[in-house]
This record gives sequence, structure tokens and C-alpha cells, in this order.
Amino acid sequence: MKSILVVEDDPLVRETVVQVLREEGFEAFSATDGSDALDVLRRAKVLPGLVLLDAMMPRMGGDEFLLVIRRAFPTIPVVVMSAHVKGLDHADGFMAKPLHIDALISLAREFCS
Amino acid sequence: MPVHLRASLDAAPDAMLVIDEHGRIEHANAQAETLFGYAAAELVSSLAEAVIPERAHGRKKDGTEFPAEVSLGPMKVGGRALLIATIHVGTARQRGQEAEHAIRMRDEFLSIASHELKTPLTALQLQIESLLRRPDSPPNPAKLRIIHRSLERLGALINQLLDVSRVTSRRLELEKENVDLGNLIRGVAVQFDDELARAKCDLRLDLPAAIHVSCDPLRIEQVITNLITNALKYGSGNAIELGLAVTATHAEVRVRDHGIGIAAEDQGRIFERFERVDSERSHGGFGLGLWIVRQILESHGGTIRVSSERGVGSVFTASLPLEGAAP
Repeated sequence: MKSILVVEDDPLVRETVVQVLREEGFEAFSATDGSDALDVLRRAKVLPGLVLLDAMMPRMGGDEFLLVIRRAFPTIPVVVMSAHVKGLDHADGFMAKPLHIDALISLAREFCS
Repeated sequence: MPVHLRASLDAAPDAMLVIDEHGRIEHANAQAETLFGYAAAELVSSLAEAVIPERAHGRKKDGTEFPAEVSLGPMKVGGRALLIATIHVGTARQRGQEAEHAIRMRDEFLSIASHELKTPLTALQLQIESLLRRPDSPPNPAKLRIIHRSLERLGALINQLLDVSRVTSRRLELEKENVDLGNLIRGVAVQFDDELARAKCDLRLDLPAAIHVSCDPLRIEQVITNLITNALKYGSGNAIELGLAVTATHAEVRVRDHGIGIAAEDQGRIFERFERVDSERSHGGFGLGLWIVRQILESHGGTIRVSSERGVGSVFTASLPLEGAAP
């Protein structure tokens, strides 16, 4: 099973998404913003099967991160989670906040099972 | 003029004058006093053209003229034909631009507000749905802690919204008492212990012997809370210094952080409602904290100011008059 990288600046949401995914049997790890996520990916021995990306973050936000990851790691699918009504262009999917657990689990299954 | 008419003129948001048959001012409301810089008693009986020489201009007591639009409406009171003049400052175009700006700010604020509220809601929803998936297993304390913190965050956001509505509708009633500012600051600082520990951040207090002011302690606690919260948010984890000092007329509370700082061109607008520096947009919050701080301090006859340098940090100084306090 492939792992999931959760990129989210808000600690409550970040801890929650990682915790819920782990409870459901997925391997999940996290980064606090776009540049932290790039560091994590560059150090990773095995790349994750999915990046769950918050759209609005300090330092490197979702849109900038998406541009960079598309060049550096073109094979990793990225799904955007956002409280706004739409996601980011060029993402592989979009989940509206507040997230529902069923939607989160089926997304994880779709990309990582 | 009937008392109830006077009362409704005084409650009006615009500057208004009641002008008699001879062009003399019969009544000036409080907003007109503020606008023209005269006391109402000075305005009454003088010619209206002294302050509104033309329909497109107003003139203050100190002689300065300003663009204005004056609308006149006839009114019959006790058989007399009077005029009500309403004075709007600025040209129609300026006011149109201001109105557009206000609408844009409001829309942006609604978008920020819904985003901010949805963040703790996301944590709550996922945690609770996850607990419901396993109704028979005992809840993990870590999950309950996140639920609790999310609820606290939602509560704080809602309180901020309520504060704004109170301040906007001028319902900010102060319950002043004689307050030892140092004690008040210590009380607020203690409430940040957990948060400071989590952020591995030091809060250094420099509080001299008792300094008393006459203020509403709950409101001033809110000012200190908002300033510490900002210093934590933008202070990049560096130590925060909180000092108290007195000038001849004022007590000054200084909150210094060593964080990202604020560019000179942005310093003027951070105390406006719904304004937040663009680069800080992603730090969360409604962008209302400093506006609330300013409203509270101004309602006490005080001020708030900032000095800051990008990349070095910021010092916010809240100033409260010493007048009226018992030593």
C-alpha cells in the first residue's frame, strides 16, 4: 500500500487527517507547508501515492507548491483540500472543507490501495 | 423645536443643521459639531453660509474648506418653514469609491470568515465522524483534545465576530474601574502559558510598580490578549517582550516581537477593519484583532501605534490616559 502525504499548515486539521487515515489502516505522514513538503519528498525513500494539499498556507502556498511538484515529482497525484468553493488548476482532485470521513477514506483507497 | 425631533437629529449618522427662515442655524447635531469644529452653542444663531458657503463645500471653524455635498429638505415645524441641511463629506465620486471599497472589503471578509470557521469545523467533523465509526471502542484522549481545541477555536472566532458587531453598532459600553495595569497584564500572560509552551516561545514581562488607570478591565484584557496573540502569530517563535511604562499623561503597554515585521507602506492600514497585509493572509484569523484593539483604546481616550521593520519585528504601543485614576 502506498502512503499519503498531508500538507496542511493548521495543526488541528493536519493532526486530525493523519490520525484518521492511520486509524483506517493507511500510512500517512505530514508537512506544514509547501517548502516543508518538498523537503520531505526529497528525503523520502519511497514516494507517496497521494499528496493531500491545503490550498492556503504561509511560506509556500498550495498553488506555488503545485507548480514545483509537477516539475520535480510529476508522477505523484495531488488532491487539494480547501474551504473555498473550488480547488486549484492542474490538481488531480478537490475536496471541500469541512471534510467528511467517508470521502476522505474513499479518496485514500482510490489512490493508495 | 420639539424634543423628539432634536433627539432624532442627534442620533443621525450625518452632520445635520436645522436652518430657519432667515438662513440662521437653529439646531446643529453632535456630528455637525465634530465636523465643523464648533460647539453647538457657537453654531446656533449664526448664518448657515458661514459653514456651508456653497452646496459643494463646507468650512470648518479653523477656516479650512472641504469638499462636501449638502442636501436640503424643507420641514414644517409649528407652522414655520424650516430647512434641514445634511452634509456629506467628500464628492459623490469619492463617496462612490469609498462605498465600492467597503463592499469589496466586506465580501472579502465574508470569504475569510467562512474559511476561518471551516478550519476548526473540518477537524471537528472528521474526529467526530471517526468516533462514530467505532461507537464501542473507548475514545482516544488525543482525539478528544483535538475536538476540545477546535471547539475553543470556534468559540474564540465567534466571540470576535460578536465584538465587531458590538463595536460597529456602538454598543461597546465601558464599565470603568480603577485598575492596576501590571496585575491585569500578569493575569492575561498566565492564560498564555500553554500556548507559549507549545510554541516554545518566551514571554518576558517588564512591569514596574503599580500603575493605575481608570478603564474597563475586561476590554483592556482583550487588548492585551489580541496583542500577545499577534506577537505569537507573527513572532516566528522568538521571545516576546511585554513592558509597561508611564509618560506624564499616559500609561503605555508595549508588546515587542522579533518576527516578520510589517512593511512601512502597510503600517497605516493594519488598524482598519477587515484589512490584513496580503503576505499575512495565510496566517489565519479574521483580520479584525487590531481594529478591535483600536476601537477599545479610542473609546477609553487612548491610542494604539506601531513601529516595525520587515524581518526585524514590531512594537505595538497601547496608550491609556492616566487621568481619572486613583493612585
